[in-house]
Amino acid sequence: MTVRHDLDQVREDLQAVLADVLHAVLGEEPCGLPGAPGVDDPAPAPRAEGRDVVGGAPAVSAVLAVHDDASAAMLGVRLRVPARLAHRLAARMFACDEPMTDDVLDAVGELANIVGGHVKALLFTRARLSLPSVALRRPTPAAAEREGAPSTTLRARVLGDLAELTLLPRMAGEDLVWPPTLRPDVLEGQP
Amino acid sequence: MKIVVADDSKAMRMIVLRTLRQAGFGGHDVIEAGNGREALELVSRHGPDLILCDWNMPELTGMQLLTVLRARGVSTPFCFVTSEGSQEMREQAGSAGALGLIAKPFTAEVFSEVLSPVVTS
Repeated sequence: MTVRHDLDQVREDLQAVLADVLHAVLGEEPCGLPGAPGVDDPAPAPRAEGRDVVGGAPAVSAVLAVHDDASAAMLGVRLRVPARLAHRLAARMFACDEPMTDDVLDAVGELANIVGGHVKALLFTRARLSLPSVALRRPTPAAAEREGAPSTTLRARVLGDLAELTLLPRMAGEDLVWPPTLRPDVLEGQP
Repeated sequence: MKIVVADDSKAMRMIVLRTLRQAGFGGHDVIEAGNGREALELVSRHGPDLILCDWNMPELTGMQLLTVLRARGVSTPFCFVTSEGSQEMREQAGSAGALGLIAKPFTAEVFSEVLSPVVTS
């Protein structure tokens, strides 16, 4: 399996995953079909030191990965949303006007988890999903990005902000947290 | 009824609680757990009537939790609420003794459909 090849073939499906999840979680219909007006790359914005930006605004990033059990390939899934959209997302999830910073990070992590689950179901048969890692700062580029591996980026505009989904083939998976893989006989000994 | 809701996302636990109410299942005693191991302890302590559980969690996954509970003879209805809703995972869940699998994002209608057999309104 070549993940990159598969990503090109399912680009529209991936775009639909992003749009459908945003719609379901935020209750607002995003626009994000490939080539649709308003979803092209925004002009690059200057980045403050250590801060992440998407669409020219400060962003919250969540990263997780899918490990293909068959090929041992790793696909990174990174979701970036502007801080304003992250705040709205958390406010909706927690049903409050002023969510705390931890709640905002939790909300964006869960959004990425949902997107990652759908990406996994779309692209893999037997695979494992990592837990999401979330940060306000700009994420350290994954090893695959540092090596110049091609990534696939999809965007959707919702509530006036641009959400960005990037898939990273050949991701090394460094710094990610994985669910435990205990054997049944070990599980029997759980207190 | 006592319902244990296990998910490592506080946001998702709140959404599950809200969706239970929207589905007409409000008024029950809900106990929250932030990971599988905490859920195991709370199930042992409180003996709930239903467990709603994420699949991917730190400490102990939802599937590991279900495996341990069934190995101990605990037959409490157990439903996964997870971002991964593939047919393979639904089959795994069923084989392990789960009542069902609700894929995120979900609606109150789905909650009502899946949980009606075991939750009173």
